[in-house]
Amino acid sequence: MLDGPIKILVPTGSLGAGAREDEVRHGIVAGAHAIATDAGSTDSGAAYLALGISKNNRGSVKRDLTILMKAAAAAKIPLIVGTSGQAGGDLNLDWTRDIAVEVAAELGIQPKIALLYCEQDKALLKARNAAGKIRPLPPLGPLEDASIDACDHIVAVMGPEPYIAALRAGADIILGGRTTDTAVLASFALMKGAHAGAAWHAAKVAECGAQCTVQPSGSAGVLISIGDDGFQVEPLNPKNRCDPHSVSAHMLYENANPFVLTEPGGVLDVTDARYLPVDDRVVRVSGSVWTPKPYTMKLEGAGGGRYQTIMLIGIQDPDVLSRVDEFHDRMLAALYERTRKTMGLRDTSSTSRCAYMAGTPCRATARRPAPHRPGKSAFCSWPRPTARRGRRRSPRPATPTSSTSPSSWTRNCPATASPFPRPTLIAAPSTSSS
Amino acid sequence: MTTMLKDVCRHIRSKNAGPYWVTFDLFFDGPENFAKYHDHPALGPDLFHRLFGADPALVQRFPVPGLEMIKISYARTSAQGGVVERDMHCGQQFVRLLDVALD
Repeated sequence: MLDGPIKILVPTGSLGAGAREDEVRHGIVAGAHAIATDAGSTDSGAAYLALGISKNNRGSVKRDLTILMKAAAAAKIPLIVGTSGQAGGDLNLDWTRDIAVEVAAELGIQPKIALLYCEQDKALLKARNAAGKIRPLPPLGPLEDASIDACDHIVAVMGPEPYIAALRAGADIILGGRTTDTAVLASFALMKGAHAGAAWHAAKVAECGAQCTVQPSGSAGVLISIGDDGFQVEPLNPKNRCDPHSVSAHMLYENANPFVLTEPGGVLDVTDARYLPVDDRVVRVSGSVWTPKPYTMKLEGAGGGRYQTIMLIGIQDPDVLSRVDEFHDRMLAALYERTRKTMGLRDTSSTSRCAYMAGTPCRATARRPAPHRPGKSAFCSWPRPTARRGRRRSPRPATPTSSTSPSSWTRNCPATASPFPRPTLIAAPSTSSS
Repeated sequence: MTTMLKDVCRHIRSKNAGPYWVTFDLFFDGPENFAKYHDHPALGPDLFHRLFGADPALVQRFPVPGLEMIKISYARTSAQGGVVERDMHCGQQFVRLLDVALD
């Protein structure tokens, strides 16, 4: 039995995406036992693993690490980071380590930092493959040695065990290589003996930070409290809220299967989970089931190869196409806003920025983006105006600035700062070994 | 008049689910539409074969009654980010479903 729920502060969906100092303070005051965040994803392609580079820029990652390391040191709680440097390869991890060491020096603290490497030796993988210990994940066929050879880096996706080992060894900060998002967030609670189904499910709900809240664009993080038979989730921003719909709907997000999640040492099944409001901003979830299975680790490999340097962008969405001028103007205005924020520029004339930024003829009437409609940040969707809302309004293109989701449209769009410094993309098979 | 999918849903979206799968979320507009259409044969594996070239055996369907929605996922015919990539996050794939005729 736990003395009380284990509280994990999840400051953001991805390290470098923008942790907020006030939210972190709120979570610490609420009694957080650890801070945990993911720092990567495969979503933006294989280049980051192949090249060992980060997608989030150094300044953003350093900024977030500064906020989190300062808070963790002051509260004397661990800071846990998984899938460092976007891909979690050894180079990505070393890059993140250097930033953390720099931040520690600047803050005048001397944390004990654990580094969890997970790149795999090719000869070992070939031997395991020959012994039938590596099996393909559908829809892939059998793994060939040639595919292993074609990879520059191959990682095995970790579960919570190395994190628990590091915590037990007294680490103040853990920087992990490639890890499932959920394992990073669940590790501390699992170590403390919290309900396994609740710990894994809470971690899944919190993996994208405030994505599981009613207003994902208005805040960055959430606090999960994991107990003996369930968990609670609430936004770190006091003005935001979670409701049963926002929390349960997150299981749908970027999963092929909304009920079952396969992890390195077992399977989470939320088919019978119940989502109930505790008050108007906190949701309690129970009934999540964890079933241990033989241990497997997914392999992800990537190598440089043929690549394309031109991207032609097409939009199929009929709602966007019917108002494409408005979309253009809003996107341009959103990009100005983001550029201004990033570079700390004053608000000067749109026209001059336009000419400077785009370098191509463009309209001089760029408008500011209209206020964002909360909860509708996903560009890649088609919301139909419903009569139930009491008035008809035509759907309008979402403003790309406010989306914090990993599926956000801005990552897809080359008109923003390109996430591909060197667009080398060739995916190597990802397989599961046992 | 023909009823199309966009007439009975309040929200339709698509997204990659890892490098090898695409997933669609069809949120029906109210319990009646969910009950009537979530299992409609026009939304079966053949549709995804016809529209996206998917292997019908690798099309998965998950009704979620609590959210009045159905999730449909299929295995992509080429990996995310490969040399023939056309939609990195599959964010535009839902468009082809909007005008699927239901009755």
